[in-house]
Amino acid sequence: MAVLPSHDREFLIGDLDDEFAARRGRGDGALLWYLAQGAHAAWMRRFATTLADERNPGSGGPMLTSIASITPDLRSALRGFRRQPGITAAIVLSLGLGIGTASAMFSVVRAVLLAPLPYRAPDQLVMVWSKWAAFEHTTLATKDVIDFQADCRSIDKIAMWTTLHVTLTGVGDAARVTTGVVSANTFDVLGASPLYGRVFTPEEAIASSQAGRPMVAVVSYAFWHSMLGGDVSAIGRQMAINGQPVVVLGVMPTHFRLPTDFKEDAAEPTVMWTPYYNDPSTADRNNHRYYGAARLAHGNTVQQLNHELATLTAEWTRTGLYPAGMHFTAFAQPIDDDVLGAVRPSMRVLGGAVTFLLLIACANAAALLVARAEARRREWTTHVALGAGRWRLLRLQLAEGVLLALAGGALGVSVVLGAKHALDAISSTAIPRASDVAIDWRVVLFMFGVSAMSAVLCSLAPALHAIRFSVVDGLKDGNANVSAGRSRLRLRALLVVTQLSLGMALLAGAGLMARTLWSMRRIDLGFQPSGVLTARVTLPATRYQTQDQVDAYADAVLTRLRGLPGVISAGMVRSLPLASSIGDWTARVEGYTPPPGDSAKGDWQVATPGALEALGERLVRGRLFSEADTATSMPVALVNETMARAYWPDGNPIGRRVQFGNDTAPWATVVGIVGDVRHNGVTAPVKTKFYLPWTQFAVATGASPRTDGTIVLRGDREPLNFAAPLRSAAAAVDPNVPVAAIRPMTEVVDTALTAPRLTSALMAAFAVVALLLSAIGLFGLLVYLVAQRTQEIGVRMAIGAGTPHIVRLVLVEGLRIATTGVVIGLALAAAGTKAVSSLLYGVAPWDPMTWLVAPAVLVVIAALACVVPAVRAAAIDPLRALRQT
Amino acid sequence: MYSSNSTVIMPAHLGEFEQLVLLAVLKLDDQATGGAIRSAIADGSQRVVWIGAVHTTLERLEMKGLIRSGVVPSAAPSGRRRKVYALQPAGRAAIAHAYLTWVRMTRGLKPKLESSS
Repeated sequence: MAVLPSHDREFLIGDLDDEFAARRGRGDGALLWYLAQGAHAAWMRRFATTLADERNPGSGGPMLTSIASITPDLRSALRGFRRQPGITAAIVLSLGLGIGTASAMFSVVRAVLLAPLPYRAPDQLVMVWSKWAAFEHTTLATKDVIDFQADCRSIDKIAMWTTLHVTLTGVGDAARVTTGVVSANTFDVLGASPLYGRVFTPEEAIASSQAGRPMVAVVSYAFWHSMLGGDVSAIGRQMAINGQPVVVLGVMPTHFRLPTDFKEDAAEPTVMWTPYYNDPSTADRNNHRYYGAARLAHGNTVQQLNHELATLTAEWTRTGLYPAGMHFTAFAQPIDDDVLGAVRPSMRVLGGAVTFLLLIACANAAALLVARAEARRREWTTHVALGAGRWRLLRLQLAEGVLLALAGGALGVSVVLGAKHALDAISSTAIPRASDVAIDWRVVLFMFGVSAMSAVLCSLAPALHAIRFSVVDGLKDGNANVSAGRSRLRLRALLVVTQLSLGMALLAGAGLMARTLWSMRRIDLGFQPSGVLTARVTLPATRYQTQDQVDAYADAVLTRLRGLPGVISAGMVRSLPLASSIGDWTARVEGYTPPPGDSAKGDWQVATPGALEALGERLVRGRLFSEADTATSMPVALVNETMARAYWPDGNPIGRRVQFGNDTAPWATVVGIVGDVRHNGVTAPVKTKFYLPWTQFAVATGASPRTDGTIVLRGDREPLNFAAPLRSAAAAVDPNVPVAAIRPMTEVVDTALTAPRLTSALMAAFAVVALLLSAIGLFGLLVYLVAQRTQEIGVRMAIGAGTPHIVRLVLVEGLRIATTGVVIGLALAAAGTKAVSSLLYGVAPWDPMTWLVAPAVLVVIAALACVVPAVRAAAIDPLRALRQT
Repeated sequence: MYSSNSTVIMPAHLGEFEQLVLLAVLKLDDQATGGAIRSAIADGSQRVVWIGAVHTTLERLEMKGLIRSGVVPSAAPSGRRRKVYALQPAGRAAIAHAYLTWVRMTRGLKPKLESSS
């Protein structure tokens, strides 16, 4: 839109924006409409006005006149295209692919990386994490937060929160939602204010921690819109969280999210926030379960804060607040790095890849344009002979470039829209903010920019060609004009080599990513995802308070499920592998003396009988849980292989005893060893882990019974067939217990692999398109080459050269160009390995397989592109060829 | 009675698109932004209407003194301001003249016009 004259640009674009928004709301071809209206307006406001001015001499400047006089050039370019529809279509297609993919990628990069996070002054906002021997990156303890606020001078204020799944009633059907339990200053620290109503005060937070007081909540815009009718009167409305009444105080703006909603809770982001009061009298350092975000004091840096945190935590260890063997420390990370750090490398690589693709498309278009110009030499000769200057030829080329790029851009629009559809279809939880990707005016502007750049790039080569065009050469017969022909050939060969080398680099990158995904897929997860259906359930704590009540529910639902035809086993686990992360808990192992300052610990899983069988976890030794393990029977436990190795030197824990929770808890006897499971991520290391029976959890640990978990069901058919029976079985037992996130376990695994899957799929797609374009380029060049050398080939055949000789002649020429491309491309790819190395898993950047196969693939494809031109050359009739002279 | 040197105000002559634009401004009262005018004409005439053409015409009508414009702040997140247009007395006279001409010319033609559509 920058081409519009400035005086009323704002009003014009404003008007366009209004209707664009309205049309987008109706799903009414908004982007195409916007583009067409914008292009027409630009034309009207600049060219049409200028043309009008030309009719009234003396009113327009020389600049405008010269722009207006491009019109005949455009017309002549259009005529030219109509004469050669095939080649024109090829150019437009190639530019459309390039511009479209580049713009689609831009829309993603913009939404994910470039758009600021929805917080005030995000550069002053940090996330604070703990770190110790078992965890690289974990949550904070309540007492730690109090001390950070008091002792770190570079912290202005620190907010803390945790998130949990609750049962919501009082607005429609019972629903399972994620809530954030947040300190009263959270909104202030993040720098977000409510859209309607207000957020809670510190006094309300303190009050809410006392029993019997009504709770208050602030809700998300989406929740307000979908569940509360989107009406301001919703403020003050009452609903119930886990059966406890809650009053709605305020509504946050559309884009507000907790920092953890982008990553940790991306699958089920928080939709409402209730107050949390960090009571100094009960704060401790035993439970690390709170997220922390801090705003830096004015003029302080993250480095200063990190220094302070290191000093402070070292002091805690020195004074015995944390055991020395734990190596406890805390660190801060800028909010940008925290939320986006993990996706940045892949976004950069994909951005680079798509730039390569765009360049290939431009080179391809340029080569085709040169070929076109070739065919129009006679026409040009006439132009020049009749007095057209070089400037005019150059302008003609530019006009062609502009038209082609505009057509390519229009085609690119459909590529962008297709890509948006595809992105919406992919589970977007692996990429923070992927749901924010929108085709807005910025993307449109970017498309215009890229199209303009492509126009210049692809008309550059033919334009140079035009400048060097010589009338004398042109008037001579083509075959006599050896030197000019060679220079054109060199130019086209150069363009093809460019395509091939960029294509080679993309192919190598795609190869490395594919190998990475393959390595990840081959990791032994420790369970068998196929054939398993999963569903989360949350029992309202008000009605399920005792172990008996919880057990009765689980038993009733699981019995019904096991009775369904086709069900092999069913059970319930506390934490589903790869769907939620699992934390550790201190344990005392009989006969094991931990090093001073350390203690035995394990990730704690809770499971009903049938659960591990359904998940397909491997029993190494002993037995799994059975119906005989009840609240009153002997407490039992299972351990994983890593735990067995860690705490029992002979590796045989069966029959030995372990104590969980506090030291008054009963000792549990280990009855089995389970194979290691990748729980916190496909590539995350396996830690020590123990399993407690659901029925014995309260007894064994002294904690309240577990009221939320995931039902796992293994059947002999497609898992989703069990979704409806599962829902009705749960409803039959208790209709007020919401069942959520019903999905096959394979989907859970795929979701955990979304980022590498997406990266390698996109890289592969880019590489395929690049190869295709390069092959077309090489093919076109060789066809031209054969045509150029028809006579020479004729002579060779006349003096006895056979078909193999001629075929070899063309093949060698083609492969010479291809090899040059491969060599340059490999150098380019080698330079780029540093960028991709952080994305790789289980494959070295110098993976010999990739570096041998990728060039081989390129050479084979190049050879295929040579076949048709070679056969054509061999089919040349020597007599005819010689007579042409 | 006019004195001899007073000017008789003759309503300005309007092109067809100018008439449509003025009608739209009249219809939209204080909501007459370029975008709203474009939609109104597109709805009424059932044809593709280009925003660029609307703006050019509005500019011309303003230069002729038939309409005036004011700038209003934007409610939209982009923060771009909008121009809102209103009829000047001359514009009102011109469109009224065009309308009356149309009414006079079509009097008694209703059956013929409607049978051919």
